[in-house]
Amino acid sequence: MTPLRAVLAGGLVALLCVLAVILSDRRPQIASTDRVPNGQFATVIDRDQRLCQQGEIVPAGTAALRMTIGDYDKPSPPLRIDITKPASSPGSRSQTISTALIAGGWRQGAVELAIAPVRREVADATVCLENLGANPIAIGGLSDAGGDYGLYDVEDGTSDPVEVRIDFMLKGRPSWFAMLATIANRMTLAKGGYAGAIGWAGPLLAMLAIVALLVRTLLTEERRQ
Amino acid sequence: VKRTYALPGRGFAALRRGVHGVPRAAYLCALVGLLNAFAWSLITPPFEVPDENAHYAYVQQLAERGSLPHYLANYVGLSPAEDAILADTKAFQIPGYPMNPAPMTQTEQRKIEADEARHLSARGSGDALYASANPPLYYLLEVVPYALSPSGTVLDRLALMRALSAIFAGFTVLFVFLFLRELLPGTRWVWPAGALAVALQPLFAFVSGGVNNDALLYTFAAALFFTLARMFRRGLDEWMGLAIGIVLGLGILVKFTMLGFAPAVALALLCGIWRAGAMGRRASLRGAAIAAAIAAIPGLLYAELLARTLPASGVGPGRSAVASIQANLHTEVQHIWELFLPTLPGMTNQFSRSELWHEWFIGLIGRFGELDTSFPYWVYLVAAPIAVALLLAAVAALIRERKRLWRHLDEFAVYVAMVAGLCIEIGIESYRSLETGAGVFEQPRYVLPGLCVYAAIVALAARLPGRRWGMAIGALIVLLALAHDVFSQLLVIARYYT
Repeated sequence: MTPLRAVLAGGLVALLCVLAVILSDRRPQIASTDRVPNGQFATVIDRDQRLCQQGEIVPAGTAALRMTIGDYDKPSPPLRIDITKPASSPGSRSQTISTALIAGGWRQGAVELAIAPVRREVADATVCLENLGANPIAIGGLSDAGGDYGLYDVEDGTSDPVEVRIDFMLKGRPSWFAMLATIANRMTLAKGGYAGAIGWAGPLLAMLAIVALLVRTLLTEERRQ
Repeated sequence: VKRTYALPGRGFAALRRGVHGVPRAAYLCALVGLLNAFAWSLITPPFEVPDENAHYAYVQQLAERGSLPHYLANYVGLSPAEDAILADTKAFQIPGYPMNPAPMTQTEQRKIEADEARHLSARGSGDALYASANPPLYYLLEVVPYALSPSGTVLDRLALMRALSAIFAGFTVLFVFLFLRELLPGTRWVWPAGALAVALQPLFAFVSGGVNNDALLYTFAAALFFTLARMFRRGLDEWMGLAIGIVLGLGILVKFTMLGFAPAVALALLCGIWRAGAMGRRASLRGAAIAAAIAAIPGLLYAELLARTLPASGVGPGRSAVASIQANLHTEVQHIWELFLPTLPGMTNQFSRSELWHEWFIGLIGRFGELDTSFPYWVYLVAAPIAVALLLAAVAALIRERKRLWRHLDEFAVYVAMVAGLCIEIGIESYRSLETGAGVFEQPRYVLPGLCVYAAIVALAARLPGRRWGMAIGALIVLLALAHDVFSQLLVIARYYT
């Protein structure tokens, strides 16, 4: 085996091994998000207050909400989460999508709040967060968003110009391997008919062709020498 | 390197022979460049390549109204069709927020499809934002895929326009290969190594996978390096002058950055006249005159067009607010120096950090999207010694062949002048942008017109150990470039789709 062939074979095997190691890494994964920046605490929910954010898209597979919550370094209170779909016509009732009671004692920061898994994607959902404890909490988002992100907030029945960030999380800590089909599907979205149709297959095939082409080019040049 | 000043064959016959003489490997490398940029065009979400909304609006204005865009001081939108899709694809909610992914729900997809189905007007305000000041050649070419898109939707047009940019990337790699063939004619195994390193450079592929006039700028810059290298091998005559003039002139019509190469081209033409000797003096003088005249014509035509079409008030295409400031020359020179090189004793610090490291090195290794997608910092620390080793190997190769380098010192000086001209051009824009309060101008993609130098460094490094081990080293560099590219793609996929 020539040095060139050894390098090519060894290099490609090494590349595959590193890829396998990286793709087996596990971490929390989002199902989607409302994309509201959470660089500041946008609003405070006091004892027994309830903040509802309307206009959310709750994707299928959501098993937790991730929100940035501050507890003022006091014991963090229990919370209640309700996700509902508004009534489709006057007289009909709103439909409950998921609920959860979160015990106090969670650690402030980016907090994952487990909910009953959502089976089907729901557009225009309302996500409500109620403070059931004695101490106030602060929620990360934009304090003066005014609907920039298509969301509409109501605090205890009063309209509020804030928008808070909500990440809709998938269950557990899936590996990248487990996420491949999901990511492949996402790569076909929001790209139009042509690019969407080959959203994941196109890049994959292109990169495989590249590997074949560069191996062939280098081996051909070796034979010419 | 055989030194020859024989005049080439005449005209198109020589061109045909030249095309037939291009090695098959050059086309394969070009195909790799095309495929890689195409892969990037599919990976990167719409309007997440820098200023892609503005470049799209420029093409839209040309295609829909047949006129150049003009910058409007007050933003009133681009066109109903583009504005709707920009909103639907979250184009303004994603940049600058690495935690914000591309649309990933069926609800968002349905909204996009519904808005595309409305066939909103593509006739806009005439504003193309930052792109308004650019010359039109790239955009004129992009009108073809824009107009040919059967569906006529914004996203399908964008996909086809991106594909054309990817084709330009293939031509860029082809010219890089041909440049290396002229530069190092005796060591053919390094040509594909250098060209493939460029084809797999992720920032190059990322930009070339988007709608951005930099994609064609890189092509013309590589073509200019190639034509000048060829002139140094084959001599300067009328046809060579014509080729140099066309490449420089059309390149200026793609982006004014090409003007940064003009002084180096003038130096090259002088070298060509000097090298021609008494026998070829007349032909070389005619060649230089043709090059200068041809290079100037497109720019003059564009200036005339602007004079006729500029609105009576407001800032129009080709006019930039930065042109009118009263620059402090001393500070400006310091700014340009420190933008690329370490601060010298006696200089005032113009930057709070080392731009060579933070802007250029880190940027070239990988900063994608709207400059908001980077590797973990340790990746750059790992990349640094590899880059330094490559550079040292290239310098060692030059030192080893110093006698040959000495014979080609004028040519070497021209390439140095091209890089310097590019850096000075970027530095002037950077300084004036800050002075006028327009913000930070520099981005790592701006140095990519120097891709031929990048390829030459790789080729020289691969050449250092001789043929047997040099081929293995070349293959190793190419595989590193492949890994760099693949992990960059994974980084971007993780950024936008998870």
